[in-house]
Amino acid sequence: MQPFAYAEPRTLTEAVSLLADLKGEPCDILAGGTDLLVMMQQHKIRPKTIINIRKVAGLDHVDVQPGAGARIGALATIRSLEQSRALAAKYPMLAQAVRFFGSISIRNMATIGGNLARGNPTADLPPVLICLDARVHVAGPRGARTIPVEEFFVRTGVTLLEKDEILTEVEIPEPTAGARGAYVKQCMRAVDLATVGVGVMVSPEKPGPVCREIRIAYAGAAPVPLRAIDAENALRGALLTKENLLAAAALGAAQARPRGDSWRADPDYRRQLLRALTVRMISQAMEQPADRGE
Amino acid sequence: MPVMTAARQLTTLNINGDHHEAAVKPSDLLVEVLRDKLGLIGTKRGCDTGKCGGCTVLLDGKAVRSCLVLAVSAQGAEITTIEGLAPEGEMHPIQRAFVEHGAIQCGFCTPGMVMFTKAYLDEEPTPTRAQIQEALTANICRCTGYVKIIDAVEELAQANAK
Repeated sequence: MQPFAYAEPRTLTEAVSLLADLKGEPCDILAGGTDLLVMMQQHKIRPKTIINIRKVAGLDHVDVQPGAGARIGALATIRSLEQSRALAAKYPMLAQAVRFFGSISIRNMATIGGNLARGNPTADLPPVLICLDARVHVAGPRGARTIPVEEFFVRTGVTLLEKDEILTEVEIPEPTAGARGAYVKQCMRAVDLATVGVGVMVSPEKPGPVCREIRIAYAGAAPVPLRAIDAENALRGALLTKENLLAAAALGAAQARPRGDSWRADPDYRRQLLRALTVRMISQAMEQPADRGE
Repeated sequence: MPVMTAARQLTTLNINGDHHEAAVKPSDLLVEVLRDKLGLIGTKRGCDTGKCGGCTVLLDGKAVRSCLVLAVSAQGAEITTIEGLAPEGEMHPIQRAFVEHGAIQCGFCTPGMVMFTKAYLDEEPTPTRAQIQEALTANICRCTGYVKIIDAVEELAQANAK
C-alpha cells in the first residue's frame, strides 16, 4: 500500500481536533478496517493520513434499556451486537441480520459505525436500521447533531458526515407494539457482500390481517440504502393477502435504481430478487412473534 | 497528540507470548510483518481482502483477518499465530483432530481453519454441526470439500460437552 501517516487518538476530543487540523487533506478514519483496508489494497483510495479511532474510549457500548430502546456506540463490533442477548430479544430482525454479516472473523473487526459511515449501498445494517427508525449521533467541531438513518446516505460512498465529523452512536427507539421484522441477504457466497438485501417491519392488525404499518428497506437496490415507499403505501391499510403482497413487491422492485452493469447481478435480476424477497420477508415477518419492548 | 509519520519505526509486537521488535511502517499489514519480517510463515496470504480466512490470527483471543490489520494498530494486543498454538513438538487437540479426521490436504487453509476453530470453540464450546457449518464459512478450503474439517470440529465440540 502507499505509505501514510498514522494517529491513534485516545479521546473523542483528540479525534475531532485531529480531523479539524487535517480538513482538506486526504485522510480517512479507521475503525474495523474491513472496508477501508480492502479499498486501500485495491488502490481505490490513497489517504495520506489514517486516524485509527479504535482506541477512543467510551464508544463501544451496547446498552439495551427496558422500555427505552437501545443505544449502541459506533465502535461496537458486529460480533458484540451478535452476542448481546438483550439486543436480540428486543430486535429479532437485527439479530437475524448480523448473522448474514460477513463471517465471525469479519464481525470481530467491523463496527456498526463503519457499516453506516462508509456509505456502501450493499451494507446490511442500514436497511434494518431504517426499518427500526434508528438515528445516528455525530460529533464534530461545530457541535453534536442527530440524523435519521433514512436520511443519512447521499450516494455510493457518501453520507451526510462532513470530513471533520465522527459518527459516535446509533440510537434505536423502542419497537412499536405488535411490530414484527425479518431481514434476508441474498449473496453469491456466504462471505460476499449483498447482491440485494431486503428488510421488512410490519404491524398487522386483526381481523384481516390488515397492514396497520409497514416499513420496507433494501440493500443493493440503489446508490443508497433504499426505503421502498411506494410498496409501503400500497400496503398500508390494506389486507395482507398474497395478491396485495405481490403488487406491493412489484412497486418495490420498480422503485429500485440498481447499478446498470452486471456486477453480482444485472438490473433485471436484481429487480426479480427484490420482488421475490419482499413477498418472502413480509410473509416471514408475519410468522414472527411480535417484537416485544421491555 | 503525536502523529506517526509514514516512515519505518521500531515497533514491539506481543506474539505468542514473546515480544518481537521490527522496523514497521504504518502501512505495513500485520500479515506482512508476521511473514516477511518475523519469519512466522504459518499464517498465509490468500486474497488480501478478508474473504478467504487464510490469514486468520487471534488478537486478544478473537479471530481476525491479519490482512486487514495494520501492524502498528496491533501494538499492545496479544497476538496468537498457528506457531503459538502448542509448545514446540506438541500438537494442540485441534491440530490432532484435524490430522486424525483427514481434514488436511494441501494444508494451505489449515492454519487459518485451526486458529479460527480455536477462537470459536473458546467462545462457543459446544456448537451443533449446523452451527459449526455456519461458523466455518469464515474460511475457504479448495481441497477437502469441508466435510472432514466439520467432522473434526464436531468431535472437539462433543468432547467439550462431556
